[in-house]
Amino acid sequence: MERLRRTMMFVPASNPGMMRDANIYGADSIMFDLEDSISLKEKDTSRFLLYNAIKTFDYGDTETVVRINSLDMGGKDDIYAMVRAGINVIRLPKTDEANDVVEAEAVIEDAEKKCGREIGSTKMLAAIEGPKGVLNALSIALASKRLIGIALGSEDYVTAMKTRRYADRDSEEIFFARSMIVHAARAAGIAALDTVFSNVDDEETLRKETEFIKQIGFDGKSVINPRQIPIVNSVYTPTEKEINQAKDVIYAIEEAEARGSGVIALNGKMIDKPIVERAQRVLMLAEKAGLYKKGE
Amino acid sequence: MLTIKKMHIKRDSQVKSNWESLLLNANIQPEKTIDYTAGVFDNEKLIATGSIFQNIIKCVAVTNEYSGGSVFNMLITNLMSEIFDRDYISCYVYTKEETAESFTYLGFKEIARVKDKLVFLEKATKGLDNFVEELEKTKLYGEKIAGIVMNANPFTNGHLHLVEKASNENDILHLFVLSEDLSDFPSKIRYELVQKGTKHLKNVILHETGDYMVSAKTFPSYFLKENDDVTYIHASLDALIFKNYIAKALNIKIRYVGEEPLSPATAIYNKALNDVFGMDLQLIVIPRKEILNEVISASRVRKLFKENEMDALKQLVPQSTYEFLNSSKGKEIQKKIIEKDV
Amino acid sequence: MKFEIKKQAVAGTLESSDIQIIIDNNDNKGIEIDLKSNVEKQYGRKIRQLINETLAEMGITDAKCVVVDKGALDCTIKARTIAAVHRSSEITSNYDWEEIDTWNV
Repeated sequence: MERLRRTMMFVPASNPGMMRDANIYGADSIMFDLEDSISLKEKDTSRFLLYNAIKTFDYGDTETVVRINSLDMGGKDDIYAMVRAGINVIRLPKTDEANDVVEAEAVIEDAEKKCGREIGSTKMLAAIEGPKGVLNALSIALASKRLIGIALGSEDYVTAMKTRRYADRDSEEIFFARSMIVHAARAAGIAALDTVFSNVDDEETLRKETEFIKQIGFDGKSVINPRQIPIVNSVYTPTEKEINQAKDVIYAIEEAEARGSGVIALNGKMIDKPIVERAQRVLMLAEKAGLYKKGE
Repeated sequence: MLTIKKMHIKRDSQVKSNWESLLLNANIQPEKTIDYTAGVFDNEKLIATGSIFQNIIKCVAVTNEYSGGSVFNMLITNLMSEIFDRDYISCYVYTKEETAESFTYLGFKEIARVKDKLVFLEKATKGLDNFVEELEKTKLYGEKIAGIVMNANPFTNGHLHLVEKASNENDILHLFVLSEDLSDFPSKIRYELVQKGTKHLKNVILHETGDYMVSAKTFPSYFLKENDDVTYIHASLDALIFKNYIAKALNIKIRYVGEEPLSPATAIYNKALNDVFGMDLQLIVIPRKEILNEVISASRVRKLFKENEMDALKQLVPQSTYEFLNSSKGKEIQKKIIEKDV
Repeated sequence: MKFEIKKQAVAGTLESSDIQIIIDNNDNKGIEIDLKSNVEKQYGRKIRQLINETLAEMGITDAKCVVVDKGALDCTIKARTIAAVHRSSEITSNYDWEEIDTWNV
């Protein structure tokens, strides 16, 4: 079944305290960063630190993701270390074309062979951070079976587009990129993850922005501070009405199964696959928010 | 969110004035001899700063509301890493007594303390213990053992006179040449010229001062009060280190210094030595040697060298120094001295 | 992989939950650890033991370590020791993760 990825929290791999506590804030995924938040001279020490942290700490059900450096800038060492440590997902930075995914996948596969992990067990996430990547979003999303999602990284993207973020003006400058990414993700059947909102103190705009990306179909958002997690999660919490409707759908399925009937109907209408999937997702979100318990 | 970054105080006047006002608020004087400055920012607001000069941490200030550890630790981590990146293997700090403890918490070791004025601390894998251990290897036994510390920038007949006198009056003379590389003549050359110029004196043992003695140029005074006598405090620190470590390791009982009737700074320096030495060490002040009614000083030699008055210079320096000044390496230094003041 | 303390190296920070390790050679004088920690009384022995074990696993028999602990967990202490030795040995890429894996983190 699909995993929830409402919030993916950035944690710099240079900070042992934050790495130890990363699991207590309720993020669905933790994204340890070896790339932009780590200065060039601390790449090696951070990699060792993260390697030991992943091997030592129990992050429970929380998905562990690592943002690696580009392959020619230490990314290969990052992959060999992280696959061996048992990370769930490798996040590729600055993905411009499908081949970037293919090349990284080859290294991941080699790493899995070297340490005896099941081939294909390490998942991938491609971050799209430039105009080329945005235009190639679909081919990137389809480039590997390992991909669990694609993500927008807007900082480099807006710079390349000769603009900046205008969070106060509804971020229209990244609307096209968001649309491309969410379409590509849906077409490929993987998750779409939105960019960070960097002003930690502006909770109102964060909420507004999250409502918007939820509206256009994103699965969730990257966050840079634990304080942002409850805000994003709450936006993704379904309403009572949505929960009740979803329950009705699930009951209808169960009843149809009990009858041995292939046709599922609710209030006289046929229920098709997308509706079933949406209902399942709503109940997962409700369960995460403590508003619903399976079997109730 | 707290971030730490380099502050371009030499390139950006706005950054510089921001930096200066933080320091002044903390009663710290901004200094000029600085190689690198870091700033800690809470969003865009500067809340702490620290600088380095060579392997010395200086001008550290944290605004009150952020004092108490984490910002300070972040800052010192950054400064230490900059020092080590410059291939130094140890780092030092001169600070006021109240802040010394924050450094000892971070593993800095106290080397010397001038009461109520300053503490000198070190962080090194091979620090003072190692320096003293190396010194002890050169220890020789004798009735009368003396010491001299000089910069010798460059080695003159004035220096030679002082050394010869001390050498004659004692069984063993330990001669220290300042290792710091800020003078017109690099430390390696100064050392070599002293070595050549004293070769005929069999009881003279040459040493470098390592990181444990600095010139007035390097000595940080940013934390001292305006009416403090910087020269006296600096000299007291030198005297303490000489007495507690160097003299002890080598069993030195007498220190020789040159008299400088025209330099109040030297008089203050010598007074501080005398005060600190007390009954433990004897201080002997030797009048400067004169030629043509003028004392021979290194600054007079440098002035003549700059003006290329090689004949006048010849009678002020030993033959070995004179030969060096005429060599191609000497000419390079001459060029630098001339360019420096243009 | 062969490790050798070629030059002084540093790893780690002075920030909370971290440990800063400066390592240097110590010609035939064994392992010397100069430790400063705010939990020295309770954990001083344990910290030294972890550093000693890690150095032993890496084949280092002589080293002078100046260590400041700020409440680091075991895995952090090991990671910083491993990083310092790699830096000191001037190994900066193509790490042998298979071997590192055996130092039972």
